[in-house]
Amino acid sequence: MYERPRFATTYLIWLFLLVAALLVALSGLYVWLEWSVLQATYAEKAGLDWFATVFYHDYTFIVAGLLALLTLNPRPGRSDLSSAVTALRTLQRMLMGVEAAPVVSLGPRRALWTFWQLVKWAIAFTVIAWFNGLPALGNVTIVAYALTKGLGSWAEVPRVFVLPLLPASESELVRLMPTMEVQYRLVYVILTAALAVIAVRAGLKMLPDLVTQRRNASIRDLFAILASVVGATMLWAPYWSMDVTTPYDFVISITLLAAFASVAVYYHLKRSESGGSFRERRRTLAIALGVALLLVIGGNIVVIAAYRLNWNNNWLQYEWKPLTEKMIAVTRWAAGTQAVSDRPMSQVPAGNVTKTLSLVRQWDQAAARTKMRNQIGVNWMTLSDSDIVYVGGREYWVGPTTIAYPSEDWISRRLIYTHTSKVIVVDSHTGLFIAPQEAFKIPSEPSIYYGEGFTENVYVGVPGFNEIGNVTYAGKPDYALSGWQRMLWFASEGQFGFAFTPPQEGIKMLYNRDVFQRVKSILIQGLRVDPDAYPVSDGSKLYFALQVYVNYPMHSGFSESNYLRFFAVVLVDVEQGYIQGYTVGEPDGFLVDLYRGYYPSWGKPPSWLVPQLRYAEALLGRHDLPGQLDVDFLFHVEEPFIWRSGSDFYERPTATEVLFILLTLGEEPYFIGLQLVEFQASPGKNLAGLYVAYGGDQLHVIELYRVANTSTTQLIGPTAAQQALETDDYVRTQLTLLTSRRLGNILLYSIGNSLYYFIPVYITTQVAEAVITKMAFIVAIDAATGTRVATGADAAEAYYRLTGAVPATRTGAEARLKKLHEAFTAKGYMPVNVTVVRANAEIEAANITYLDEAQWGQAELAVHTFTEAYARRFNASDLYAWDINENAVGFGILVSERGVVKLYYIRVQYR
Amino acid sequence: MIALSQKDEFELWLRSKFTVAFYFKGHRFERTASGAVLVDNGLFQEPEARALFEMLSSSNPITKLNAVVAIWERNGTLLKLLLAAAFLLLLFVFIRIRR
Repeated sequence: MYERPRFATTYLIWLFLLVAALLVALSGLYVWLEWSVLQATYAEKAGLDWFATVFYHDYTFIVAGLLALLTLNPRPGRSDLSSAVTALRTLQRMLMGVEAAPVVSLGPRRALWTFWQLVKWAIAFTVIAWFNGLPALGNVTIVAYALTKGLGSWAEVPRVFVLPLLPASESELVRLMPTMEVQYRLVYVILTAALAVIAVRAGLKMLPDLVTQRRNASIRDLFAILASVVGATMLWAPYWSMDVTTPYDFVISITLLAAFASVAVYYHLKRSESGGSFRERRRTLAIALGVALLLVIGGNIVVIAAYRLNWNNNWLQYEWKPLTEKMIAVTRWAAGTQAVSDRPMSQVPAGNVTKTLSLVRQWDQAAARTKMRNQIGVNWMTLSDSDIVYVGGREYWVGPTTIAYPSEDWISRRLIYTHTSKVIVVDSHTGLFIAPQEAFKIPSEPSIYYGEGFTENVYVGVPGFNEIGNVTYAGKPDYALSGWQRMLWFASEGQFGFAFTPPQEGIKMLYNRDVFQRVKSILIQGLRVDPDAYPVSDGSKLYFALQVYVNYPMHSGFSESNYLRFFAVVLVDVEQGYIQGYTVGEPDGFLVDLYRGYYPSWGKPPSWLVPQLRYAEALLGRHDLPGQLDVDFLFHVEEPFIWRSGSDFYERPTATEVLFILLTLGEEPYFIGLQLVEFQASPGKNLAGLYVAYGGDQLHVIELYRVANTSTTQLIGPTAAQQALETDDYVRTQLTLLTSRRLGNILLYSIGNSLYYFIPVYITTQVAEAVITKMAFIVAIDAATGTRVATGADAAEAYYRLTGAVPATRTGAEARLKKLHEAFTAKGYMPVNVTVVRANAEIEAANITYLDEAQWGQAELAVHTFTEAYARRFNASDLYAWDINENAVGFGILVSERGVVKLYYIRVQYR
Repeated sequence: MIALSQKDEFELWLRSKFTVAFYFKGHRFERTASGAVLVDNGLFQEPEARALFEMLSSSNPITKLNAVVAIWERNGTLLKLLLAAAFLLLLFVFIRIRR
């Protein structure tokens, strides 16, 4: 009996629908608001149209709209899905023994059919727009965009399609790559999507055909699916990796496609016939055709088998020439390593000895970071990272700070802790702290509102609330929330007071403050940000430099690498969040040109920025993120039998990655990324070569200095160097005396035409909560033998002990000592000579070497920093000088703190 | 006693109402209740069965093959062979292109 639904039930349904509609409307409004904020932020701070940038100048919607049309049923009033559902329900009833009852079908009802097509299109549009393409087929929007920008050529599409039959040369393959990734890619995606739709529709049709026992129609559906699968395989054919057997594979595939399509058509034509036809001639013809197809397929299989049987004795002709040789060339082109110049190890540049020794990176990242941690001094700041930079002719570790919220409530996170105010700088050679104003030549230490790990949006200038440090954000906000936008924004954060009774109508917001997220928000497919941002300065402001590189998937079987290129450096002003990109990628007629056109406001880097540039580390490659060098480790080999034997393949030693150091050419230091490599799976852990990636005005210059594998002169690798250190009797004894010791980076320097490893040894001591790290000594190891090992207080001392050489400038020690005294006097502190200084605690602020005039710069810097950071800070009245030993002098001040007398001093080795 | 040829025997079997199976060159001919003929479980009308017998009797190997294929087509063997071959070849192609 039919029962009317109760009022409450009806009411609840409507209430539910109303709430759902309200939530959908609010979500839509919130998305719109967020997009408005982004649009306004990037228009103001980056000069970019955010919406046009991230949605490919509306191509996202055009492509999604057109591709979604594939989901529409071309036959008006028909629905394959509805037929399949009907068939399933009929089958279910049949299996349950219930007599078939009429089932509501979408099919014949035109209005419902139209609505269903619209729903399908809308769903497909949303999915395609979300992914900028079809989930399994990659980004199509950028392909369509590239097409309109003239990349590739339609005229080359037929040539691309017949690549499996008519192989191309290396140069032709490289020339065809843009067409393969643009025009042919678009053809591939559209046709594959269409074939997928045909296969799905055929699958849906099969259900009712099987249920109603229409045998021929079912076979047609099945072969339509098979033909679609083979069709998609054929479309992929130009992307196959191709050897001598590929044309036969292609013929087999095309024959199979023809056979499957013919069977589908045959059964489609006779779908209404109950049994097979008995006309003898037709069957004879069909048999002849079938036999011919089998012969073609079988013949080709036999040919392939014959090739495979003779593979190894014809490897050069069958695999090396048609496949491997081309793969090496195309992969090198794709990875951008074809420009890596290959040189013998004997040509490693060697500069001035004392200059080189004065620039050795004695402090590694972890040691510098530990040292920096003690300089923060407050509980609401912590180091975000420590980055290596090259500025003003010196290399520094820079530790910008990020917020460590001592209090997690909303007011603290959004209104009080808006910024940090400390950047810590340590000289990578001396380990001395340098004021950021001095290192970056900026007028004052900046407040950091935009940095690494700044994940919270904050509100500034809100009456009744003070930012930490009693400062007020002085710049332009990213967005000002007012009216309904403010209400919705704060309501979504659960802050109804700010939403409806705010302290002021317009609330200024700093949005998207994490520098990585800030830059990623405007990048499109194929562009990646190096996970290591570093500070740079133009002399007035401090910026985070984010390195953007191209990492675009290549679909050819000849390319074992994605397309990799250094594209741009994007600067984010740490104080006000302004963004400016500079393109550093060289024109390539392909993707770099496309991206340059996409960001037309990004010009060449200014002259002040160029010397501070370094090559992107992630692009070069790391243990966890393979890059260009990882490709070159294998693909630098061009000789077939060396390739086959794998005797010249490299690997990145586990103990080292790309290290940014200063390489001296003559007197000129260059900021380089250095990657040491060992032979792959080499038991001897020999040095196979070293990659040098230049920065500054030599950016993009990458050199490989290699040891020939057949060479009798071998060099020990970094792993072996570490073993040499650990097994040296003297060093081993020294190490046993040190608790909490740690080995630093393994650095290789070319000094006087020989290679030497330098490995610093640090000690870390913990006093209460504070952790102090010091360089106990540094070990120099002769890379030629690995048996000569020496230690020293610094790199110079270790080197001279190792080589037995006498520093060329041993004379004039008294003059150097006098110069040091004069430097302190010039700073207002005339050193008082004493025989000995005693204190309750001694703190060595720096340990430097001043053995010749080339090292005067760092000595002067040490004097300056010590007087500023210690003497003036503690208001010292006297500065003492005493002999630490016959070669070194100490300059220090005595400070009494709560009854404890502390000696702060620097140690200078001057003879 | 007059010896009947195989063709006469078949004609006799076809015209009679005998329900016992008739075997010819390894093929089994059976009569259904509706009067049609099942050859190796493939359904044929009487004239088709007669033609089939003629084809099987032929000395032309192509005609014989034609007859066998006709039986396979009607009893589903051809479809099974076709599907097996299709999947095997598809597998072969996939293995080759995934190298």
